Amino acid sequence: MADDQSAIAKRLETQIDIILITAIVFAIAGATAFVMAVTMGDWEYWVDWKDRRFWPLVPIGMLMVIPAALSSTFWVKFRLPFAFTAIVLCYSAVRWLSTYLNFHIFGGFPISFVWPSVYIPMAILVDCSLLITRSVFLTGLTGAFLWGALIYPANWPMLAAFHEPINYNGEMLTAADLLGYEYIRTSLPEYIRVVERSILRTFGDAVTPLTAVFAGFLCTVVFYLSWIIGAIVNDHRRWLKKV
Amino acid sequence: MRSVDRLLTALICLLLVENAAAHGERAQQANTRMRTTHFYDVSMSPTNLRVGDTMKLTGRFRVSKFWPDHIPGVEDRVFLNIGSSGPNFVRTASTIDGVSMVQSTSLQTGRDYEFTMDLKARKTGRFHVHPVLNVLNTGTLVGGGRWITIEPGAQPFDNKVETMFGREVDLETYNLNVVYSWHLLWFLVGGAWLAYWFRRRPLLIPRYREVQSLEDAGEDPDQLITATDRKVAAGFVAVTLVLIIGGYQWAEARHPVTTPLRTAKVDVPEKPAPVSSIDVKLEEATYRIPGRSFQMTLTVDNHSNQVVEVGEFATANVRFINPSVQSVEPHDSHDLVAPQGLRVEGGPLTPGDSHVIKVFAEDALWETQRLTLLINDPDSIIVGLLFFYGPDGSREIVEVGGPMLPVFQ
Repeated sequence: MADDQSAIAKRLETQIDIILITAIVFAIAGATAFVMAVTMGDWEYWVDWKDRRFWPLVPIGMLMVIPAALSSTFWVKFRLPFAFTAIVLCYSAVRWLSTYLNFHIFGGFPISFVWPSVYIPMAILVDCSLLITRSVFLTGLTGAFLWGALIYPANWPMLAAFHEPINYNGEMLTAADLLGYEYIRTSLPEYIRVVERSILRTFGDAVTPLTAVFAGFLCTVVFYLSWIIGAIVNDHRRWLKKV
Repeated sequence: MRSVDRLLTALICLLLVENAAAHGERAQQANTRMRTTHFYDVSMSPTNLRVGDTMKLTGRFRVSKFWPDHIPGVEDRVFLNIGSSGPNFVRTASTIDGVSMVQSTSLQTGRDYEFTMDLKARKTGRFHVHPVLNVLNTGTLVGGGRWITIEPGAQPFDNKVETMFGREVDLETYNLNVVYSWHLLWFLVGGAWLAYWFRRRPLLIPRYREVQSLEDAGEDPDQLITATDRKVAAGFVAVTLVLIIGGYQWAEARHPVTTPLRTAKVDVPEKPAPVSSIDVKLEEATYRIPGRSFQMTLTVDNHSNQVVEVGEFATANVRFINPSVQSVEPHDSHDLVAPQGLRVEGGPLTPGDSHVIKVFAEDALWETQRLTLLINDPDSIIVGLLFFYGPDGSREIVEVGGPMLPVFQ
């Protein structure tokens, strides 16, 4: 009798797992996709926005917020270090769905022009840092820093080919620039891209390493702030009473 | 059942719709359409083509000297573009005054510019295509449009270019195998990390209970993390870092020379404002709403050495034609030409002549192109191009503008 009840309880808890995790992860991934679309979508959509200065900084900083806040819940309440990977994996799936349906099928752009960035490896590093160090402070210094610093090298295997130079009617362009020029976007002119421009404030020609260090620092700060937001939300008894 | 049928029919109809009827060319305020850029002589040829064929788009535009002070002008950054429902063409070349317009440029007010674009047909369908100018901090200024029909070609569309290292690539599918492979690899690694945790079922509720009981007992819930968990995590860190570093090195070896994105601005040579041998002063402009009749009273000084008369008034891409001077018919259903739309009282102007003429521009296009909404705009300023023609067919273009007074009854 007791065995039967235990088996039923186990099955019920497994079903709750499936429903709860699916609902939470997909709802959060959908919310993440929406937040990313309205805050930094263009860096994600277009290959001619994936530059050395802003693309490795802004999207990765924005994408840190929701996984870090939810990671707080999963760590404090369950001691489970997979929130980053779960959300980023689902977000990546949503992005591919959007790329294929919205941009390729409906918009008519070639996928080579609109492929999404890779974030999964950095998410794994944050989750693993949390597990290995079991310290939020140290995870911010290691995992969150690597989350920001490694986006460029993690995506370079896919992106490098698009930065190969092409002689186009006597003018040097990258393949990414040429895609942006040839495939017509009526309301997205060349100048509107928020990408690296020639400025005097440089450190030699080390644009990418500098951006990586700054992105790492930014993501460390965003990680701590987002974790605190998650912790406040976790303390639901107190704020629900106030509401 | 019937409602389901209707829903499905509606969905299928939506999927089959290929034409875009408009691109917001009537959405902007009437006075800003009249006072920013005047496109003219816009030509597209051929208008029926097959996938892979090239269409030539040519034309001219004048940047209005009446450009509103409060709207950022063309002196900063401008990009010559196409108004179309998506990338139905690929743009293989574009110029302003012969200068390649791959990048953006800056222009001057009160000047005429000549533009060209080569567009290679990519997708089948019937599309309404416009030349447009994107102006930084202002928006998109739309020129006159044409319906273009693209039929299937003999070969599937490709877009091959050669890199500076002699590699021929098709931009339609460029590097896709690499993109797919890396994304798949990372999905597998990320999935493996999740699978490691989800192999324990049930997971959440027992884990929550364990954390709570340890906290209640004053113990550290971190002890739920096992040594195996840490070893597996260390393994994932190692694999991830090796893949990132290895992938970076592989890409560097495969593409040893890469360049950053191009953002330089190109220069179109500066030029003086067009010198006119005809001076035109707008004395009065009224629009009689009941009769859709626009009237201008103009003082015209003809300093040229030939007889001239007004053959056309063009504003906001609408062309009002004086049938006694020239015959112009619309190219298609959406070509904004009023072939009988212009009437001139005061006759031709002989050389040295100076007198007042009245120009009447009357057509339903005032309504359909929402130009009568000028009375709702904060600025009721009307601006357009007057085309004067000589007996030998020569043409002189004068921009005229000023306040417009509506007549309600």
